[in-house]
Amino acid sequence: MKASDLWRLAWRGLTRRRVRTFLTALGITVAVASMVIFLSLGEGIRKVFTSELGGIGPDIQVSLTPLSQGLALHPNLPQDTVKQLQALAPELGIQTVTPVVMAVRGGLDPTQSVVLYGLPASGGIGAVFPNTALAQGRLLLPADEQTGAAVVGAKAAQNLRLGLGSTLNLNRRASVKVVGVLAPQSGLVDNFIFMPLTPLQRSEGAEGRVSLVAVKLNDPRQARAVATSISDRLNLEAATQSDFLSFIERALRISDAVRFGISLIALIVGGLAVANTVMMGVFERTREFGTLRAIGARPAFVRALVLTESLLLSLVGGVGGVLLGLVGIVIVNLYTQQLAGIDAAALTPRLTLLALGISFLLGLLSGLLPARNASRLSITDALGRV
Amino acid sequence: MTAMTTPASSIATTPTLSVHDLSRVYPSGDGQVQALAPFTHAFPPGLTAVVGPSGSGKSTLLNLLAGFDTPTTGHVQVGDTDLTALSETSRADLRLRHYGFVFQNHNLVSILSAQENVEFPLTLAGLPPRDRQERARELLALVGLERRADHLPSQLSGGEAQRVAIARALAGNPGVLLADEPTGNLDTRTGERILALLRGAADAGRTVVLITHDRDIAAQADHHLSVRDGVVMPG
Repeated sequence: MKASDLWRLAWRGLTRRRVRTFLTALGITVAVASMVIFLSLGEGIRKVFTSELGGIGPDIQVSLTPLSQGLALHPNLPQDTVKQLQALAPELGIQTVTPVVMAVRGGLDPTQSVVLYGLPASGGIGAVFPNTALAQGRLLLPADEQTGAAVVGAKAAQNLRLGLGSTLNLNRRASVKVVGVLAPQSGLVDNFIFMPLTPLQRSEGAEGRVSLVAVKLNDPRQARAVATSISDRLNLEAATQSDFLSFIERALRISDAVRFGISLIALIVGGLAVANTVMMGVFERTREFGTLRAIGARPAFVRALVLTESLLLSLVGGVGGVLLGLVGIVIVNLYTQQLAGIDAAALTPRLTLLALGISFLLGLLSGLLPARNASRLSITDALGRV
Repeated sequence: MTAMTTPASSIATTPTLSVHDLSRVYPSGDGQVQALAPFTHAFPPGLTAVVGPSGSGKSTLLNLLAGFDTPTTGHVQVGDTDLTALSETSRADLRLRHYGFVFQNHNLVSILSAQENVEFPLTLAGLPPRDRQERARELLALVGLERRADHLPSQLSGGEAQRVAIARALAGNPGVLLADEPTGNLDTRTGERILALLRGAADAGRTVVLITHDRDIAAQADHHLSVRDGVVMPG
């Protein structure tokens, strides 16, 4: 029998009990959709980081705390490091050295969380984030280093209701005026509030210390070698963009595994539903399978027919799951756009293939036992003629 | 509707069907039940009626002739092939090539139309759609159901469904037709029409083995076997 005839016959077999088939396919759809949505979060975050890091300045990020331990809660790198790096600049091909202080302000409400990003006002925001554009007001000026000022990312301005002239309280004793609002970037920068280095160091009680030093190179292709050299000579952590990406990738892989593990429960339940439906179909059609075998169908044909029904059911559920997952992703992104100005979830070709592949595997595994049973039926028993 | 008019020359192969020392014993509790006593016979072309009361061993004989069951002793010879020595797959292939079946209940596939049911053995054999559709149309015309081709089995009467089953049995132009009480669930008039179709198939040169408990139907056969308590006897 040709494959097309087999698929057609399997489809007709499934449509015999439409409601049962629909409900089983719906079970798979929901299971696959939950997997797609869970895993799409990792894909979205990957996309955000890979698309943004190219635009973000530092070829090398020098710090005291290794990347794997995250951002130090309090600036802990002596600011003298800047001078040490500048001294090495001619030898190592360093173009600019920018000290950075980062402080996270957060609460229970994630929309109220922002990153305070302090850097020398004289170098400007463009020294680290060259793609930023102004929507209102002005950028930082060298004079702001003494008086204090803030340029607010689009999403931070929206979430904290900050506009030109607003006062941003850094703590009970310190505050700065908002002098500019950035245009939306659809990225992490939207949640940043940029300030001159000195006022932020002062408000954080970290005079003379920074969180990290951002280094730009004449030739970014030398980043790995220069980072190693800095690390060895100054006894500091020096991470390149690719170190940062691979760190993110490692973290996301662990997170992917956890999220996949959670969605696996739904997938197993869906698989059992398929197995149950196909097994019931085999029981109900015992006589029919006996007849097919009697008139010349090989055991392998019956096995293939039942397996094809199982695969079809799972694939229909899988395609439905990808589509439903897509709807879920749109909803998740509407929320994260509002929250942080980023698309946290993304349906990539890799994820689509994974979802369909898992559906296929689910159908295969669910159909194996019913298919084996159907192919081993005794014809005389099946026809009820013993 | 007329009797089957397929000429003998158009039948793909007409293998001789014979059994040699064929018997079947079933285990029963601590002991054994002899469902069929050792029996040797060559089935000639034409209509052979196998008669006997319920439980006499008729269906056991048919199961063995068809290769649905394995004999305790002896073998079934289909042409040059010993059916009993074949694997399940090879038996299925042999049934597809040489056998047609008509059951007491029509046993049509409920999701397929009359036309598709008749086409089914040809689909299994890998015939191109156009050829098998044409053959199915011819056979449905032969059993007088060309206008019911698109109907599902549930939309056909018992007699119509049984005629479709005969058309399906003849689809592959088999040399052997095995019919197990094909008129058992039908009224007399419909039963006669079914018998006429089987008669036609036999007249076309096929070996038709008809299992029945109805002596009137058996009387219309060319050859007769009777079964009682598992013992098969001529006449």
